[in-house]
Amino acid sequence: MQQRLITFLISVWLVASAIARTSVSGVVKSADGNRMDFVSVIASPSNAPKTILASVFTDENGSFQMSVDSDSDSLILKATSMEIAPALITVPNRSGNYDIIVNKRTVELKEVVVKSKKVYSKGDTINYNVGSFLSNTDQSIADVLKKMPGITVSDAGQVSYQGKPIKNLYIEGLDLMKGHYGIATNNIDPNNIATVQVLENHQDIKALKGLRPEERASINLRLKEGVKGVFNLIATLGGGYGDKGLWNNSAIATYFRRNSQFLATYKGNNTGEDLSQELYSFDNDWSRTSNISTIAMPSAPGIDKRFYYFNRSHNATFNNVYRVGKSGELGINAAYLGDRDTRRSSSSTTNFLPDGGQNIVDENMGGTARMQKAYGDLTYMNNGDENYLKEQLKFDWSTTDADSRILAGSDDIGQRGTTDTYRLLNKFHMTHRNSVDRGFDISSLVNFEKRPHSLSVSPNLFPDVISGDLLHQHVDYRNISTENSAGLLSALKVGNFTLHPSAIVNYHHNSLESRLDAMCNDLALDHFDAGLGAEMMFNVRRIHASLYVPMKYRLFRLKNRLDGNVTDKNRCRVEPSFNFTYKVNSSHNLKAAASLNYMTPSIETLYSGRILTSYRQLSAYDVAGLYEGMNQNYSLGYDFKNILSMSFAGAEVMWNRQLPDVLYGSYYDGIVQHTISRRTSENSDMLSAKVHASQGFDWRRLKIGASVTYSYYDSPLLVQDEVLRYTGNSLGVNADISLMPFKWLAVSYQGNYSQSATQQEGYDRFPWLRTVTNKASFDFTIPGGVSLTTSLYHYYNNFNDGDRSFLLLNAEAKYSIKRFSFTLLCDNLLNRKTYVYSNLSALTESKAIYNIRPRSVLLKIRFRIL
Amino acid sequence: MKQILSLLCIFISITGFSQETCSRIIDKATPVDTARYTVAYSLKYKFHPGIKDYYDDVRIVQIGKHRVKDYSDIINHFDSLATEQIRRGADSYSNVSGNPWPLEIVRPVRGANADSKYRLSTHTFLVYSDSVPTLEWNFSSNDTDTIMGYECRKATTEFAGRNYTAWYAPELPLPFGPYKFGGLPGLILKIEDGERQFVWEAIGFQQSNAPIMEYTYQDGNDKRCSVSDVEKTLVRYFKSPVAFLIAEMGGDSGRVHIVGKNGKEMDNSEASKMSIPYKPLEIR
Repeated sequence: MQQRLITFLISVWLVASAIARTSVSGVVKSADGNRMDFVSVIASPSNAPKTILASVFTDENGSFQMSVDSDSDSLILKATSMEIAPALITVPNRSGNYDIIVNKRTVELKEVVVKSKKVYSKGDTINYNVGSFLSNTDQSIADVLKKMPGITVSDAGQVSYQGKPIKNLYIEGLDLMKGHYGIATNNIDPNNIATVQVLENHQDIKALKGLRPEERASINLRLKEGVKGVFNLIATLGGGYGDKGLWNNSAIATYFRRNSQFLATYKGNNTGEDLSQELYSFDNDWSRTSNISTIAMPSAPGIDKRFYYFNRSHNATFNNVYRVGKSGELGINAAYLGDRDTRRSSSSTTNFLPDGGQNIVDENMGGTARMQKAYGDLTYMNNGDENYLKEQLKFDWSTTDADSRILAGSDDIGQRGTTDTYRLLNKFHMTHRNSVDRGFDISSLVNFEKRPHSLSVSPNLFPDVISGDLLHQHVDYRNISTENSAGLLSALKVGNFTLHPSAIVNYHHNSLESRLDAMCNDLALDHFDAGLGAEMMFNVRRIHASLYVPMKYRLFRLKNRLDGNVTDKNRCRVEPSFNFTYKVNSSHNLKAAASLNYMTPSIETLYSGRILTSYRQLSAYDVAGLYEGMNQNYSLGYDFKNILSMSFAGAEVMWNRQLPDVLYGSYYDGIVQHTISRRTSENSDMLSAKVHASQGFDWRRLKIGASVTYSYYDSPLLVQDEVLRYTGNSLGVNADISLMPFKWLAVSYQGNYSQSATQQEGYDRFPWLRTVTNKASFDFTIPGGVSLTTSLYHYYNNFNDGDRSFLLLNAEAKYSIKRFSFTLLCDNLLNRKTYVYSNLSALTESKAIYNIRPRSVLLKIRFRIL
Repeated sequence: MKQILSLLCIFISITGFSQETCSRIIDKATPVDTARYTVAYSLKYKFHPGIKDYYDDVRIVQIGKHRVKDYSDIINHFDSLATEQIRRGADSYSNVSGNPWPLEIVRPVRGANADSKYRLSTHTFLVYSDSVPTLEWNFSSNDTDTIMGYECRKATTEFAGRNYTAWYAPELPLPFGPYKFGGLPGLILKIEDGERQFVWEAIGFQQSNAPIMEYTYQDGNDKRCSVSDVEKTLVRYFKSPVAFLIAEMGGDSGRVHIVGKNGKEMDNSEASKMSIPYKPLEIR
């Protein structure tokens, strides 16, 4: 009975509640009658529109049905979808059929995706989202690259990934800059770049892909869509005052299209900004000649150049690249630099002598160097899947004219010197690969170079050797070189072994002419190398090993044109190199390398007639003969990266052993010194270790990078006709941190600590030289679009007498309105006048006082003309 | 590929021991739909609520006209990397690093069955059909939050033995979310269970026209099975991962080397006794 009653009551309750629920159905249609599927329909009571009573989605026919439980008189039905404008209808709270008519419209998505990933990767490409690293005060893409984990930018503008310099810097896949990429990284507005892509192990020659591994990475800058196909011309005008009127102007024109790119720049200043750095080429096209005599100028103290650089500089660059056909590129790069540098210093140099005595030279020096240089490069490249061709013609020119006055001891010395260099370089590289991965690789280089230079000194500091009071010397150093190699790709393949045979033919002709009073040199050194080499590669799973063994016949011929004397030397040399990598997985990588090579005799150490190498140094080499020393290098390294956690790290140990046949050194006699040389069987060793790590965080855009370097060396040194041995230890710690703790504050810090000491065998160790450099900058963004930057530079040197710490402070305010941006810069706010710098290297200690640029104010206006 | 894997000795560090997920070659792919929207979620998860540290994954949810696919971006990254390495002629490839959630799920926008794939350890690859629930949501009218600039409202539900709190964006009227979640009047931008064992939060949302791919992995390791087989296998795996691996390698314990917390190799029978606390996402 009781059970029946419960059943009855439950049934009554169920019926009652079913009566209370309203069944709402209908169709969602557009104004033109189309039924809309997947539209969200929400029912809310009209007295509480925020409350959701029920929610459904329309089916394929646009129909919906739901039941609603509410005591409200009426209901609000709201229809929304990504394709329609939200529509509301109010209906009575009664079961029924209610159609909703909607208008088509697309929902606009929020432009800013708050937490887009900062770093992500696809295949061998690591992408850095520029927006995630950018702050208001970043002027160039180099400023942003510095904040990306795994990437470092040196003071000279060289970009490294995982501690190793990159191979190429591309803009949208085109190599516009050809090694002069400092111009691009220093001048391109970071706001124009969407993504920085690191192409790991990027073999840029498509025909060699998969056949020749590439250790270095390349970087590609991906532009934002709105930047492509738009001509931009941005100018900056600046004027101010320090102890004299100051100016700093620039203009940058860019035009980037899919098939052509253009970048032209002009810069000019007398505010201490070094314009020569960005023109430097990272292509390793080193010069084959060098100055035999140098004009003594105050050396560079170990602080930022902008503080001691009293300059007047202009540079202009023109860079253009066109795509030709499907895979070709034609590029033109040209630049000019004009620079005047005035320096002043007082220094004291102490050379420790074998008998425990010291040779001390005090110099008070002031001088001006005027330099002009220009280059022009023309490059054609065709980078097809099977054929690669690169032809590059480079021309370099420079002229330097310097004069200085030196007070050394009781002497008042005046000197003047000029150097001109002319150089024409042609580089050719061709690769062909067929469908079975066989083919050939040819490269050739031809270099013509001429370097006439002169030095005039008064009074004569060497009256015992040279007569007259005014010394005038002229030297001309010339070089003609050709370096050629040809090789077969995968000529032999057995299992996991491949063999690439190659042949090389190199020829170098160097000549040196000099005239100083009655002392002359007229020498020619020919160096011919010809040989065959074989590169054996072993590839299995994650292991890659290669052994390159070139066997060369080497001929040297030294001809003294003054007496007709000819010295020949020929021999066969084997210079093997070995590389090994083991890729444990995508995060861990082990590598090892070993190589052996021979030093080649240089005309710079073969002349017997005296040459004034500086105003107080006279050189001639008595050890006649064509000696070759030996070099051995060994290294072991480990790399780690984890893209997901933005962690990058690595460690490397290196050992270098040199076995020179001849030692070169100095004989000190008062303020003058003579170059001396002696045969030797001594060797020198250097052991170094480096650990580096870099970690990026999503939190407050934090990046922390650190590296520790230790080196130990044990070398012979020739001083005062005696051979000594000395050992040295040095330790360097570097750290860099960038952080954006608040939206209105960005902080960056770079610190360096180094300590080093040397010890002469049989004597006590010199005291430790400890130096510290701290650079910190604080960027404040204050409301109204104004940003303030304060930069603090702190240098510490424990060898300095008196004040060992040195502090410099700069400040900058920036305000942008429409297309104008105003920057007010105040340098050296504390108005420091001089900087003291001490150094110890080998057995030479030096202390110097330099003039520092005075407090100055500069206003810069940056505006977009086009 | 199976041969290569079998040839390798497996070294496992017990310190960070979770699951060794293996990359797959994804050169056989069929587009099954076009994604109209792509949502990226950060997923923090652990195998048991009692474990302190979370594992991280980045999940991609592709929303097409007919299908919704939810997969790990991290695993996909390593799959593409491995595919590229093999295409270039490598004999082996990098394995997945990190600890992504090895589940991939493709469900129809309407319908109750999803195709799931679970990568367990180095060999086993479970392929099964799973049910998609119709969730009964309770709406909260007052609680709001802002995620990625979108105003979100709160809703709660109960599903497979757990209580979930979801934050959905009415501005984005898409009835989807990660895993099997959906049915709200806006895209789910954040969802977590009551014990916070699984926490999904959106980190990106964009329109898309990328294809939704279905991959055919031709390495013979796919095991078609039922949902209950998957559950049993997972329980067995977490009870003794080492024993599971040894069994997987054909019972040859000589090919499995276990490295203990101290960096030293452990005895396999000792290591086999170690288990990982595990509580499944769906408690049935």
